[in-house]
Amino acid sequence: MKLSSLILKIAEKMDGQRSLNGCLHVLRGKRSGQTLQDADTFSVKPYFSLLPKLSEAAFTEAAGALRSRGLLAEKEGLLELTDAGREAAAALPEYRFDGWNYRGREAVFFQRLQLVVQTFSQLRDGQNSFLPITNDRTVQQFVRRLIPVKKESWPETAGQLAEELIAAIRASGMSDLQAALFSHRLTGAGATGWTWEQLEEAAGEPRNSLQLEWLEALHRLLAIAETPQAENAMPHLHKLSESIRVETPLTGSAAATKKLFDKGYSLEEISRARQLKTSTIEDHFTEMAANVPGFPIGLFVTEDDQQAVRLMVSDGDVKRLRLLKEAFPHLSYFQLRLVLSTMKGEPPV
Amino acid sequence: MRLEQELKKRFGFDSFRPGQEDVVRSVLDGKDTLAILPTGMGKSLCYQLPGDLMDGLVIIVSPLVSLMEDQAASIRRRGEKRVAAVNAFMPSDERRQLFAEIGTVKFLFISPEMMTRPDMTRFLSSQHVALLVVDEAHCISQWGFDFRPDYLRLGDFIRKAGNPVILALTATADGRVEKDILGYLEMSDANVFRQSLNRPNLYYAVQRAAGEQEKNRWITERLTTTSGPGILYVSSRKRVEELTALLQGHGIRIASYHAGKEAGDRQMIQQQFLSGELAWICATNAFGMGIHKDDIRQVIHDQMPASAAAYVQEAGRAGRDGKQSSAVLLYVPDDEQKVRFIVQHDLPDEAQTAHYLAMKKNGEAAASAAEFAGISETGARLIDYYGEHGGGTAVTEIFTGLRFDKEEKLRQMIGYAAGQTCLRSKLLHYFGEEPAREQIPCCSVCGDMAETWLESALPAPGERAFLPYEERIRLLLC
Ligand SMILES: [Zn+2]
Repeated sequence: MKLSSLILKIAEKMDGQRSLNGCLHVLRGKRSGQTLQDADTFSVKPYFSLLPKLSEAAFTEAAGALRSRGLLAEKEGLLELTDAGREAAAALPEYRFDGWNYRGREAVFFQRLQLVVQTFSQLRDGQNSFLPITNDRTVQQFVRRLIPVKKESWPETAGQLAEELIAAIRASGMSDLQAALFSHRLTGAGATGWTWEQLEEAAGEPRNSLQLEWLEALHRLLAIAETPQAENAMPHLHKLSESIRVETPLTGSAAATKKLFDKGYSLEEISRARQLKTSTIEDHFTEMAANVPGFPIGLFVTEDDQQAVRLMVSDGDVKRLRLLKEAFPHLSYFQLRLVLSTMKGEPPV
Repeated sequence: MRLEQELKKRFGFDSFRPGQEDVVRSVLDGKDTLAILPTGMGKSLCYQLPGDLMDGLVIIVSPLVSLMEDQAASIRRRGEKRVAAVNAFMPSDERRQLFAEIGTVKFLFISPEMMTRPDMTRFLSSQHVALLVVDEAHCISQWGFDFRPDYLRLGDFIRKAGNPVILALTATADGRVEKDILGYLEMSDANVFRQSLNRPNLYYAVQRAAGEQEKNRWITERLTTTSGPGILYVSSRKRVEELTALLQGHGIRIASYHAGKEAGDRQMIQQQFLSGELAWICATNAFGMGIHKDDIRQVIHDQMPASAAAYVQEAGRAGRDGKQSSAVLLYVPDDEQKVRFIVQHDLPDEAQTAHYLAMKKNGEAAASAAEFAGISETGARLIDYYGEHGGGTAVTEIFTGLRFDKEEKLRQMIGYAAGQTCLRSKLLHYFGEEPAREQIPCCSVCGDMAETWLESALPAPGERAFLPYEERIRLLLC
């Protein structure tokens, strides 16, 4: 799976409305009001925050490749798909990412799983002391609670976990390559996990591409392990997926702002109390408007203005703030963003 | 006290390793103690056993997070669960939780940066500290090969904590470093124990080469005809990757290791090496601390390290099981310039120092000021420390002195590589020890040996191929 395929997928949704940077921000999961709102408006939440450490250089290179293949163009700073690009995007497989809800926490799920598998594996071979694959104490404590006290039941539990894993992989619909990557990153007695280099060697594909495959495989597994039915069908995996999904999709700082807002502080008071710029607090409010059901947007924009903006957006396909601002000079950018952030649904095709 | 009974009861060992018992007794007598024990001689027992027998908290100051975690884990493995490790990467809520539960902790590992923060000093000095262990104590000396200014601030803590018993541990310390340790840690009436650095089961060799091409040829030949497990030490990440690729191409089971790799990958490489799935590790000097593998047969250096102390430590990872092993240093006379450049580049020069200080005065943050002035993080720490303790001109003077010293250390290393006298005796001499008694095999100067103990039994490695996932999962769990 190539980075450029992800860019193509996102570009398909944002076609003609956002710059290339907007796309980078989505992949990196930038916590600004604008990006959070974009994720929602253009339905690119699945790709949000998939690659928090994505370098500008890697991104530019992948985008450049699309451009030179004639799939992507830029017009007045906005990215646009060519006809060939649209065809290419349609030909891509359907990915099952869920970046918005996992936000990188699939790594925690995998660490737990890795440590559980390693622990059972080593215990089976009578090795009660071994170097744990992760030094993360929270993960270690979590896993410790999953190991049955009674020694006699270890082999049985380990066997159950194996069957659960195999069943989950089958049910997830992941590819053979993904199943291979996933199972060879697991580690234990006599079968140490493989490094990314070793996986590259065996798969004959570059690491970046393998890591995307692996990431999607984890999201597929999590989606299965999380379901209420999994509580009975695959109890161990279900347990491992506990609290991986981000409960409150608000960023830490926005959550702090919300607390004060709930106590009755005004925007300006919050800005003073938190010693943050007004624009930052405005970002938090936009984030809240997009994510908190029942957010009283009426405190900031009159019902009439909201209606008018919504109408214009859905009629005229105008989502660019600058154009909206021209149409509604009496509204501030903040007010316009607030309205936009409450608008759900598919972007215009 | 019948110490051996306690040793048996708590650790399952019948007897002490050389040097351990004296150190343990000294600590239990309440004496400040400096123990200079070669790597692999069971340093940690020197504080674990007395710690068990003493009332109060045992604080272990340790310079590397990985080392700390590893030691904490090894204590837990023997069933002692009252262990905690705190470092700068620990989230503050976890730290608070740890403080709240400090009463349940017996062994607390801590990094020097953390330890010397005012809030931490205040908190820890209010506890009953039975023993303060300063691990890798040579880091306190600017003459040590791994100087960490934060160690210098420990003296302050010691005073505030009401002078607990101090145990300073290191694998290498020449006379000057020893003096620094005793001085800065204010151990005026300390017992000093020094265990000989001589490792009779190591065969030392210097292998000359005309250039990198020839080095590559020699290494390839060596690794295809002799057996591991072994470590190949290399000076840069780039060279690590190059050599690894070259050797993998010859079917050698080798993997690369350096600080730039993902933590999970590093862990897996270590485990593959421990379990024998890998025969070789090609690494920068980031690899090795905290590795418990006794049957390493050879350590090869692609290029000399910056000092004999570093060399003794790295080469000493071979043959911990007491069996015959080899330590080879490859040498191209050009290497001197390369190493000199790296070593001297570590220290900021006068112009850089001035630049850095000016930027900081203008309100630039330390990290970015250092970047602008083109100096390393360590360099910036040094300037900060000496700047606080004497001002700008003092800094320049000290750096001149340090530069001179580093050059001298490098000369020792060159003397080892280029010299015509017994390699073993030379290393011992650098650390103030008598020349070694004659032994066979000794070193490549005393008599070139066919290294018959490295006879090869290389299984032909197959292509790396995936197992079907069901099979692999059952292999792990069923
Ligand atoms: Zn000799």
